[in-house]
Amino acid sequence: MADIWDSLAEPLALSLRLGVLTGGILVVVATPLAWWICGRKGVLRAALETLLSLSIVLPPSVLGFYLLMAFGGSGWLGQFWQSTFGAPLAFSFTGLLLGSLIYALPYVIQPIVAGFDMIGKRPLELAASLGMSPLVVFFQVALPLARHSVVMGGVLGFAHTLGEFGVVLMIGGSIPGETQVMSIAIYDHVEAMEYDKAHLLSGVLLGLSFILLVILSWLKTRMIRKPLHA
Amino acid sequence: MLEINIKKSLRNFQLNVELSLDTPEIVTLVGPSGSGKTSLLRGIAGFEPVEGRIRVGDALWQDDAQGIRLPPHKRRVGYVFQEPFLYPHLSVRENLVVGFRRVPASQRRFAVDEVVELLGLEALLEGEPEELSGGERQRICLGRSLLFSPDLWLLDEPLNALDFRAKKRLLPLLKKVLTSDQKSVIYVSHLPEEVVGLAHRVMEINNGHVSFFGSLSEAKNSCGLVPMLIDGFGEMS
Repeated sequence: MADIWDSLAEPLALSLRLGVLTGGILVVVATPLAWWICGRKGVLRAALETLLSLSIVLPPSVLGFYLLMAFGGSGWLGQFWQSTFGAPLAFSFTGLLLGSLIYALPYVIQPIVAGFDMIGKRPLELAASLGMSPLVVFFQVALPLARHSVVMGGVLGFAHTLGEFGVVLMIGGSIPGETQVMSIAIYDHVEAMEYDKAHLLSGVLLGLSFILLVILSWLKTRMIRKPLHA
Repeated sequence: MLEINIKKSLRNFQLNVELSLDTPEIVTLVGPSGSGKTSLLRGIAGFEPVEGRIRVGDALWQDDAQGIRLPPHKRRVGYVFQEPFLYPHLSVRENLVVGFRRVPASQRRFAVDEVVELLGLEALLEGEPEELSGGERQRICLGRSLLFSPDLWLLDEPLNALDFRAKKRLLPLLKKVLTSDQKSVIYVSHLPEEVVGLAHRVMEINNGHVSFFGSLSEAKNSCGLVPMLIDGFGEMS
């Protein structure tokens, strides 16, 4: 019995660590990026949004393949990483994190862009007319008004990272304690016909997904409930 | 002193307005819908790019010849919108002083307590913005602009979104605020009761051009003004 629980601890800790880091880093990176995109118009904005959404439609194995080529020993990023830090990027937790950041970026940035768009021009113009510089407007008006969308972006990034399989398999493989996250561990247990362990890990992921969906739907109601205009 | 010379291409016509005031005055801006009134105000505030020159007192807000164009947050305007907007993430009190906090103490013309008393805001301050009626919100908006000590007031039909009772309550307060502040005011209005007893002069815009600029009594005799305004004068005289 203890063996079953041991099989859960390491992949779960790794998945949670990967999910929290991915969601957290992406919120910090994607929020100002989303704000910048919202200030652009026409073709430039459409091009930026398309570019940042590519990984939604791209099969994870395709994205994973390109990332493996870049992260590997003969790839430009892999070589740079090896010469700078003295360690390989592919099949490492850092490589997995970088891949997750690229894969989950659109899931984080899209709700944040939508949240900023929902604010409309009026609150921002009013803030400027009351002496707030663009930076102050961002921190004191836009960010508080779009805070539920920002949190939603972070939760979505976490959730997608938790369920990631194709990209992780391609660039991380299945190294216990380093790259063997929950989804990969389930696959490995099924291959080894250890169904009790696969059941346990799947059940935990199912429960986590349910809790995340409840949080997301609560955030959605918070976004809709408070109208901004009189 | 106020000097405005603005040009901007709009969808169907060119906005081309010149206005020069030697002393602080309240100018009521009238004209049919879509004639360029709001675009003019937004151009002065810096929300939309316009060509030309804007001088308010000693401050040059824009002069294309010298390559000067101040961003909106550096133009000290008291902009009052048609829809009274308060920030939902701030309390009513925080909304009231949001601009005041950004004005250096030496440039503040009014104290918070003074404005609270002038507009009767005391009872509203402890609540949340969503608990206030439209009229109450607009009173806070007026107080917020007054506390920002603006060099120029721009009011875009500030009573339009309010019901009759709220209008009746707010109008005398609005007149009190604008006359006590002694700054130039450009006030877009369709309602004659707002203009009478408030405006020093009336400016009418048609298709982006000034078709009338004169005193109230001259405005009554001008057949170019919007019919509703003339009817209003008739009823009130």
